[in-house]
Amino acid sequence: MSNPELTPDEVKQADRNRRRKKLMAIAFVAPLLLFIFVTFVAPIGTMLYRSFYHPTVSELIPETLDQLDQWEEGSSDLPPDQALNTFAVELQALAKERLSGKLAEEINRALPGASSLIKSTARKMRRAETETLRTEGAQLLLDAHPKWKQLDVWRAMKSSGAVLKDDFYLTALDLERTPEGEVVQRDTQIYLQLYWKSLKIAFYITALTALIGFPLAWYLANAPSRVANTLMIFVLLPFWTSLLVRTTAWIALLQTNGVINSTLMSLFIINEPLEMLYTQFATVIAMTHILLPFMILPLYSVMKGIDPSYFRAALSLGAKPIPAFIRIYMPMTVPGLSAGALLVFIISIGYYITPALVGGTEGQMISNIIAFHMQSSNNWELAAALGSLLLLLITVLYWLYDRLVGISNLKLG
Amino acid sequence: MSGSEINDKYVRFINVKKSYDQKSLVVKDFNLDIRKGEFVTLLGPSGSGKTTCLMMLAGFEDVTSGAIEINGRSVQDVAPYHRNIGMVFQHYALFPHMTIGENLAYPLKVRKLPASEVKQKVKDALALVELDAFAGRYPGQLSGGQKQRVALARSLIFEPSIVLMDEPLGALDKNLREHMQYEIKRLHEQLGFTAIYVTHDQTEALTMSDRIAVFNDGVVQQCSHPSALYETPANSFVADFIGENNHIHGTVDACDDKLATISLSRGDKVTALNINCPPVGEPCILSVRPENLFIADAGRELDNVITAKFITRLYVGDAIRYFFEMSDGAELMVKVLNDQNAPVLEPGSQTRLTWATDRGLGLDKPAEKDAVTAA
Repeated sequence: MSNPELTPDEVKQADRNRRRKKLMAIAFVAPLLLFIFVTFVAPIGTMLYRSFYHPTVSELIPETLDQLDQWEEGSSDLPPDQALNTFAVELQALAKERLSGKLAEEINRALPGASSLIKSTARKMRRAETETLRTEGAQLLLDAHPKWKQLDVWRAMKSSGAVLKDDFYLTALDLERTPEGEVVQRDTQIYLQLYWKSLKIAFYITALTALIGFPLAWYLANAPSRVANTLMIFVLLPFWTSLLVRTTAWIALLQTNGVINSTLMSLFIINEPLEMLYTQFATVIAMTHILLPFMILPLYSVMKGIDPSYFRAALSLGAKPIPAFIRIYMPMTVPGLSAGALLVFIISIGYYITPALVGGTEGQMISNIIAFHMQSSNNWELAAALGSLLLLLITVLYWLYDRLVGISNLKLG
Repeated sequence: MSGSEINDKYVRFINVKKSYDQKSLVVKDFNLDIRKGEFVTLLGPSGSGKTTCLMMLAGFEDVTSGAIEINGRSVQDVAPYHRNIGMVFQHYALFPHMTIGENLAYPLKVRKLPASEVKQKVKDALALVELDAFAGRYPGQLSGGQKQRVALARSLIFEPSIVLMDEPLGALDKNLREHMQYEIKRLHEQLGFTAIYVTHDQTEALTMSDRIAVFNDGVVQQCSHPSALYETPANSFVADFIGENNHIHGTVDACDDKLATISLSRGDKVTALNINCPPVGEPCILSVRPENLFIADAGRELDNVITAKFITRLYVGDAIRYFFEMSDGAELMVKVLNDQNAPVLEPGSQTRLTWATDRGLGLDKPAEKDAVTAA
């Protein structure tokens, strides 16, 4: 058989057609791409960047840091006078521009107590002549406060001055760097414990939604369509109600004088109210309620597609109903179950509003501490590091899931 | 009951009725006795109740009234998994998460057979359907015909005495379907199980079955051997549903036990076998198969002759179909073998058509509803 080749003109024409189709496709998705970039990719990128890029100190005292570059952190001598002079000049400049407080705050993070040292010295430096400081700044500095003779202060200054650093990640992992540069565990574990707790809570929620959702989805999938459609409205109802309303409803239910406690007490089942609100229990139960549709919908769509003749075939082959259900029906629901579990787990591990409202201190999750660092402690870099680690954790879980179940088995509806 | 009688009535449907909504009956008073080892087909248009009968026998639907007996014992209270009936489904119902080997081993494992025996039986079953090399594959990797053979092997592997097949070849293309018909027939003869087969394909039913029960509207219209069904249908529904047929409207002129005289619209009087003719004076239908109707020429004229206008001919390869129109507008078709003798006719010419008396059937006029279902 002959295989005639295309003429150059035909090739050109085919290329033109293909290019036009590609351009059309890009034109269609361009608004969405732009939207995603502006509202999603860019902020997340900035957040990731912020977690290790920290130029504040280097912008405040650039020349001092240049000088300190030549000074060995491990040496037992103070930095050279020249460096101290430069620092004195820059500190005075900062004091005049009312920026010395910011420097004090930054250094204080690396060396607790450095804040008052820098602030008091800055007040003294402001009164001195700039020319004098250029030559005798070192002496004035050492006279101003004996702490300036300590090597720790200068080490802290140099380490805070680094533009790119991993300190926030170390903090987020409950690690710290000793003055000698070694990485060791902190005495108090805060964040690791919180990550672990978030994982645990997310796991409980996933297990609960699966436990409650599976039978319901099965019933819906096998009910006559009129009944199924009516019940489906109830499943979807939570989606159409404000999240805040639903969470507040749980407060009304769970609080000390709430619906559940008063009912149980009036039935003489309990003598004094149970502490349910502001506990981990409250977080788990309220989030299970909120995330249930995410489990039911994929399960339902998968179960709806399972031909009833599989189960009948198993029965006709001699299997009893329960073994047939477990051995034949359940494996076929895995795509829906795993899709639902993945959705619920990933959504719940980063959930903020419900734990914040009903969780109290016991039911707090990692997102709540991230919000705390964003809003209250103003440590955006640490918040960014914590957020990045959470993102990494979820990516690892997703990868694990792909290895174990396979993403191609996923069916989201 | 004697032994031979038990074997003649191995599966019995006795006055079986089924209603899904407690209002209308899907199956109306179904009676059928099936011999041991027989191949019986339930044939009928979709929605005629044939699959429902199969499901009741398998135990997936309960019987509204009446009884189903297997081997002389009522099965009403026997759970489907204890009935020991093999079943082949239309869409195979092979378990997609198990290999072919595991699919075949499943009925043996639930019966707790020793592993070595399971292995041997799976091997034998695969050899039986000529799929020896496929034990490790998943159903998704098989073609339609292969899947159907595995489904067949799985329904036979635990040696059930009855095998039910619910339109098992419906999803296959024509060539494969013919091959599988042969395959099923071969296995039936080799293993001697009792087979109950459901289909809406009349050719399939005619080629495979020992007996065919023709369903319509929840009632068995006729249950007989394929040849009897084709040659002497019991009523106009069966005559129409099985094979092609010419319908000529007429009125009964006279009738006795065997023959009926029918006068056609233009006054022609013809004779035909009296199948279920209505009383004298009532309208009836004369039915003649296209291959029994001939174009008359010199020296070849049979018992009955009518004239009709030639319209057109349709070439179908091995045969040629000639279409004629009678004066009352009814259309007739004549099937002629495509050989040297196939005549050439002028369109619009009046042509004489002829047929033998014992090839014409005098039937009742079908109710309007039946005509619609049959179409």
